[in-house]
Amino acid sequence: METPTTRPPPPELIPSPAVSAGSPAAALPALFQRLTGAILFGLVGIILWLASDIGVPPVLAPWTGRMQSFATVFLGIFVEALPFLLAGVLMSAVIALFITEEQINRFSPRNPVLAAVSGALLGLVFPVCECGSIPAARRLLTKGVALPTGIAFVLAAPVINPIVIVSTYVAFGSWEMVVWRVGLTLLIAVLVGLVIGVAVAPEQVLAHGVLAPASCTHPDHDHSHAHGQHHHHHDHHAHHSHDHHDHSHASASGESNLRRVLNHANVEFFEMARFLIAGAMLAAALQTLFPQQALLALGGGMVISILVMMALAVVLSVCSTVDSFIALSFVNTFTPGAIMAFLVFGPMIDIKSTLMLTTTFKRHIVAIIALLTFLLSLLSGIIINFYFS
Amino acid sequence: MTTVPSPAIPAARPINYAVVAEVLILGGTATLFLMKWARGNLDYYIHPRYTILVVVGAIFLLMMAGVRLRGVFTEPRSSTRLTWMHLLLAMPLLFGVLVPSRPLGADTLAGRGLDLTVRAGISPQQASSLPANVNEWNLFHWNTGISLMGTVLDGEAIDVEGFVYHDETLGVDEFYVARFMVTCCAADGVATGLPVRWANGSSLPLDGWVRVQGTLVVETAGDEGMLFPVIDAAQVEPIEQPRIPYLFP
Repeated sequence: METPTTRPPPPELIPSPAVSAGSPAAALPALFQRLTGAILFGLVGIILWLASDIGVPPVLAPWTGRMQSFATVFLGIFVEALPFLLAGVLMSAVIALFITEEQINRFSPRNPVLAAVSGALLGLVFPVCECGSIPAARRLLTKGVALPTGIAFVLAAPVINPIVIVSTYVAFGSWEMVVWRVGLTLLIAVLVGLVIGVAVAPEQVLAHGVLAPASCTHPDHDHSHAHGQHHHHHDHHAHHSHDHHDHSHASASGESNLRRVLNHANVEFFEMARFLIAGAMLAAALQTLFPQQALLALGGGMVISILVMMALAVVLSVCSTVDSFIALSFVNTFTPGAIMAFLVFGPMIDIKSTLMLTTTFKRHIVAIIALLTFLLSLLSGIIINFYFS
Repeated sequence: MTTVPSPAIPAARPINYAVVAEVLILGGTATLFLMKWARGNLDYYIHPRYTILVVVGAIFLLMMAGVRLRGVFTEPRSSTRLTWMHLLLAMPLLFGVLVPSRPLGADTLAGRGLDLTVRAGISPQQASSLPANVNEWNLFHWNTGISLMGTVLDGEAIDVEGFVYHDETLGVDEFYVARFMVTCCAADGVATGLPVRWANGSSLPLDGWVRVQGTLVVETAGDEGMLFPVIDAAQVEPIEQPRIPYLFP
């Protein structure tokens, strides 16, 4: 089990997590990972038992209610994100099967700034929120889209798309909020895309298996069997690239396009859903254990209020299509910079999206993306607070 | 779904149990949410406006499960193995099946605390959305109204429904009548409520649903004119939980 708490090994020592798992030098971390996994599953098992109210002794009865509300919140986040994740994997399958590298090369700008800006605006054509933008971006990157484009797309698409623009306008009833939200998101996504996309080579940034098709044959293929959770991903990936190379003579294989799209979506769904599920559980656990009131009581200061709203965005992990309505209920209690930071930072980084990003980017790169996004959002919030007061 | 006809079994291919697990997870998760929808319980988890999306998503999952079925017999065992990851992926299914469907209620409040500051966050839209007729107001409308009009509402007749919540700050003859407001899904649920004065109110069963009829009393205290609303109840009757237990602002 890959846990968010385990620190990734330094990249210069070990090229990729999949390889690290099999090598003898990494045997201890692998054991540690397994132990952490077993403990986490044990905890979830206890929660499940308490919530199910099957044979729970009266002493523990008060916990049943709280664990049932954990279940409601967990399933609530999961079921709300599910259709959007499915839309994303569907879009990714369509990109994988029907869009060629040549087409992408023709349209993708060489200039890094233009590449990042075009990536940030791509959401206007592919309307996806954060659950959908990650599989779609991953597929675009496999197809050879430039790194700044991919990173800017993954960060900006959840906000810069027709659905979210309309929902923000509906919630606040003014174009001013929409312009600020879209403008800041564009700026931050382009900056982060440029910083990482230009400064670091693609093979240092992308997770194992997201590189362009030329590198798709896995030398460590058999090797990865030693490590439970990776082989699933790899074998399917190999299976995929096979599908992909075959796709020009699809009629020969006798598979209908629908079947191929569904198969493709299925593999990707399993890869993404585990992070959505882990993230939804973590968010639900945080909500059950720590009352939000304690968090909100902190709000008020020029800087503290921004940090509180950003923390709230991470903990709530709600979809960008609806977060404006939530932000609305804080308008009178929080500073304008805090509201804007919630609207800009939340769609880019929250618990579930951070976990899902590790399917596309190496873990330390995800950490850098999260940190940069955090700092830039905080800075925007502070500037807004001083500008408006 | 296991009801989809399976392809002919090629000779000498053992059943791939990992793929069986994947088919069960996909089909089971889809069936779970379709069943919750059929029973009207899906509203405990998400805003009704997303129901259609979940139903379409469930049908898509069923289609993926149907396509995956072929792999049960054709995919070599060495390529896909049963791992802990399958257990993680089965979590929504396990929680959905083993845990009784329950909306957010008093237990959630015990963890979150009753957020009575809700009425501080009123937008012009919300204010204009108040029904003209006070008799149609629910708990959210009342709290919005109190924050806008304050003591003007003192002495109004009030008739609201909600669940019972007890708080140690209240007296023996008091309880909260509360309801969760949901913007999108259960994760963003925020409770709104009013204290009720009712003889021996603290003995009412926690989380039980009641209809409270009485008079609203709005008192002010302190230099800043803090508002202290309370319902002086004339009648408190137990009712069934409404089909949709949440309010949608």
